[in-house]
Amino acid sequence: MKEYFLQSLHTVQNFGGNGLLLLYFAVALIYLLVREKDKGIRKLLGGFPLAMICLFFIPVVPFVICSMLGENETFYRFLWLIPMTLISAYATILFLEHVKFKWLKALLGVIAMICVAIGGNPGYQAPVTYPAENIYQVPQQLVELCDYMVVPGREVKAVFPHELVPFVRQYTSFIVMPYGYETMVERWTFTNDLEKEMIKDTSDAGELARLAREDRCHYIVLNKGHQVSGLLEDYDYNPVFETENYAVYLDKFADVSEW
Amino acid sequence: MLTTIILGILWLLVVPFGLGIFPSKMLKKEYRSPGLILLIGYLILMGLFECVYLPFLLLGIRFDMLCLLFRLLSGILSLASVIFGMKDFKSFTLPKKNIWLILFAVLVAVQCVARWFQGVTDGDDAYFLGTALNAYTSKTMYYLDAYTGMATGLDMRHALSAGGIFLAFLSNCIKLHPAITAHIVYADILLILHYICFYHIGRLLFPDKEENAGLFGCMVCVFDVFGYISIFTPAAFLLTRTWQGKSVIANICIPFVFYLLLLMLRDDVTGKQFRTKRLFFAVFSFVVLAASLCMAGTGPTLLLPLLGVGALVVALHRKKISVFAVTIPTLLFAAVFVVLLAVLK
Repeated sequence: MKEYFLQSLHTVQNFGGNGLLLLYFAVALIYLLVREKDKGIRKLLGGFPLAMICLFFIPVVPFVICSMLGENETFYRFLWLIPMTLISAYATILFLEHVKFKWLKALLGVIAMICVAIGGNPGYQAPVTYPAENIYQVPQQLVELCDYMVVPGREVKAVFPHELVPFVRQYTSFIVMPYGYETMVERWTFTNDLEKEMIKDTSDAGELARLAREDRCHYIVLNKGHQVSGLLEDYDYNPVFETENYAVYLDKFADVSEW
Repeated sequence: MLTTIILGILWLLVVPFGLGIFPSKMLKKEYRSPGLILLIGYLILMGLFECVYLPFLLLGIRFDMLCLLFRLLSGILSLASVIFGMKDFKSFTLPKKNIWLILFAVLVAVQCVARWFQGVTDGDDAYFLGTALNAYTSKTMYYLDAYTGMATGLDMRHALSAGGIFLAFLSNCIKLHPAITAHIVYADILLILHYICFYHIGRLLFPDKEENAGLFGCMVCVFDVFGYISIFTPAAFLLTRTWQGKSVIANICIPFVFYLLLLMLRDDVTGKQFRTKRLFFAVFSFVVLAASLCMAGTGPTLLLPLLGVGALVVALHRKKISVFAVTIPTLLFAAVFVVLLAVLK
């Protein structure tokens, strides 16, 4: 049972980041419990979240959710049931309502917003974001690569470097792949020999060609910066197209004509 | 382009708005607004889609047939809702203009525009958009692997929720590639619905001081924009994975449940009017649950405790156990899906 309590604790730690917005929420919750005059709102936005927090830490709850419902990876989502934004925003306004002077109210309001800005992180600077390069919001070079490879009315099979794998089938369903994003998530334990060869520090051209051919790949797409020992041309994969960072090799024996 | 714009206005604005008109009659005039009508219209559209999608999936009927039938069904229902709700069509309350409301609208508009220029590297998109694109082009549902495109068996745990198929349906309606629909059009709609929901929560929290609802909306914007304290927060989902089902659950379905609970908390009507409000609560508890299931399989697991405990808190406070009693069918329905998910894990 101790491990489930610790799991809850870790989940909260991971959820809360630097903890400052959680602290803001905790202060807001206490303020709401103390100062809210409407008993109903106090129960729903004060007592209810408090009960949810307590439930979250009772070991039997993570046990049921993680072990029985199989929600191990997504246990953090139960923290969504505590309306932190709603409570923090409401309590802030509740507090400002009690300030008599308008200028002081405005000043405190600005200070509250600055606290949130300092304690939080702007989503627009998240590491997962980048300036969109096209209307599809997938890398532009992927669009160029796919547009070159797609044959109207049929599918072609291609192997891509890791950084492009998640985007391919967001852009086109006419290119199939020997492996997809599922192999990139270690904890999912999907493996593929071709993928293992593709992500080696130095891939072997002969092995790449053999495995790609075994998987019936028409094309191999390689990052130009990726080290390959030997030449794919020696194994009948010839360079046919390139973009700024990627090169496309086509199996000499593959038929990629229109059906 | 012009066709897409016209179809977009029809299927993304007119039809959902029409769907929301008739049910909104159950609310008092001051609670009814165009924004809320659109919000509940979308929840109905999502919930209804899930109810129609599941039998189609189990019977192995093609995606294009589902689109055809659902377009027909939602169109007819929307038209019927407008006809039967026409009498009270104009009896809704527009928000009173104030500086906070204007600032709130500007902040929301800025976020909508910012969404167009922000690309996101998110692995879950590979599955979500892969599923949508597979359905959009191959007309099959969940029989092609979303990641690779190779033929596969039906993964019932994921397929239980329409998820990407609903996005494919919207793309099909407006004849636009699912990636563009998701990242540009649908994302902005969901952002707007999220803030509509919070604005109306603000109206319920500050019934005597409407400008505070605008201020509340502004505060929520600030918390959302700076809420990326980890990849797990609703704000992180809202800004980086707006179009994904999980984000809709965190940022629209769960806040809407709080809206419903706050609505029932207000002791503002008695007699027949209370019974009508209770009916609205009962109906939309179910609708939001079905909508959450449409968005992601995890929806019922989250909404079951929230609705159950929340309704109980409100019922005990109002000393009206019927408020809890009317949610029991919804809770049982949710429980069935939770058990089903546990079995399918």
